[in-house]
Amino acid sequence: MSTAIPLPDLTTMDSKALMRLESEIAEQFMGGVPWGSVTWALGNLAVWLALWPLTFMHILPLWAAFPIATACVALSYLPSHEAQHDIIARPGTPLRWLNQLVGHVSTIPLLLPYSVAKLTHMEHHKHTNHPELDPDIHSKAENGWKFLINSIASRQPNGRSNRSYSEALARIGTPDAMRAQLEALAMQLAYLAILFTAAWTGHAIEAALLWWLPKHLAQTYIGYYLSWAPHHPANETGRYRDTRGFKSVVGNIGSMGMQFHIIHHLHPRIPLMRTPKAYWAMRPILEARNCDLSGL
Amino acid sequence: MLKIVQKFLGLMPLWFGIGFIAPLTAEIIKAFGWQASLPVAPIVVGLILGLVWGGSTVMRGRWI
Repeated sequence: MSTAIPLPDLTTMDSKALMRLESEIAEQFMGGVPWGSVTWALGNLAVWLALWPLTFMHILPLWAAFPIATACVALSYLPSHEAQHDIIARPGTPLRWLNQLVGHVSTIPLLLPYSVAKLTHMEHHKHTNHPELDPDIHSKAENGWKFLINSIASRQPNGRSNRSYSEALARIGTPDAMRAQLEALAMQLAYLAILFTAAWTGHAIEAALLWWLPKHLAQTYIGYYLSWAPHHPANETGRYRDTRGFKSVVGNIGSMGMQFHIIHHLHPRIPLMRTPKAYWAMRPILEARNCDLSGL
Repeated sequence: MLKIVQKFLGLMPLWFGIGFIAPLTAEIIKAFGWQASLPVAPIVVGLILGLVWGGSTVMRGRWI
């Protein structure tokens, strides 16, 4: 990665010139395999899977396994997100299999099939903050507390989050989208079969604290930091107004890098771990574009 | 066939009540040592809770 481009006087530049400069800066941060995300994906899944035998054999107490499981499920989404954008390896390149492997396996604890995640996430990028077409718009709320209430309500059997993804897939309407719906159903049924089997064979509390409750806590955390916070107040659409920079009380790592999510929406092929540097390099342009940077 | 599948999926909260809430409740009762104060086995309490809660969720469309 090269050093930052010294910026000219932006006030004298027209929109096209600004766009060119923004792209030049963005390109510095793209390319290469983000091995950190690959290690994160496979390591995180391995840790979560290991918790099952460790607790079943009483090697690790449940009170210790529960927070680890919650962290693992919460951390399971972002590596898949890198794969959804072909950041790990583009189609037709030698490491494409690794991109697909990460995409498919990392979100198993979250119970989100790669096909569903990828198709609906692309819709989210295409229609960010659109009241009907953005599949993630259900996270919109006036404040964090209302987000929490919405998040719980949306996960009820008749809730919006259940409907919004299947409606988005139905709108896409391709054979891939139809297959994604079937994969989601198969994954859900497999999850319930595992939960029920564990529960009726004397491991209900383990199943609840290693998967069921961590999944709900992780969904809330992911929804807050990946959806609500970077798009709040989610009233505007448009390249420079649909996502914001924000300062998180739990810092960059605690918010999973989402303070800089605006960079991801502008240049989705920049790997997550490079978005902070890309943000600071691009910040004067974002200011010139009147982006909401919320003091970041 | 599709209608049978849809009906089965529509009753999912009930299956969840029987399949998960019932044994989970029974295990919690045993873990806290409350079974001695119950007139019935912990799993019976679990099944009643699972059936009632799951059944009402099927009708109302929400768990809470």
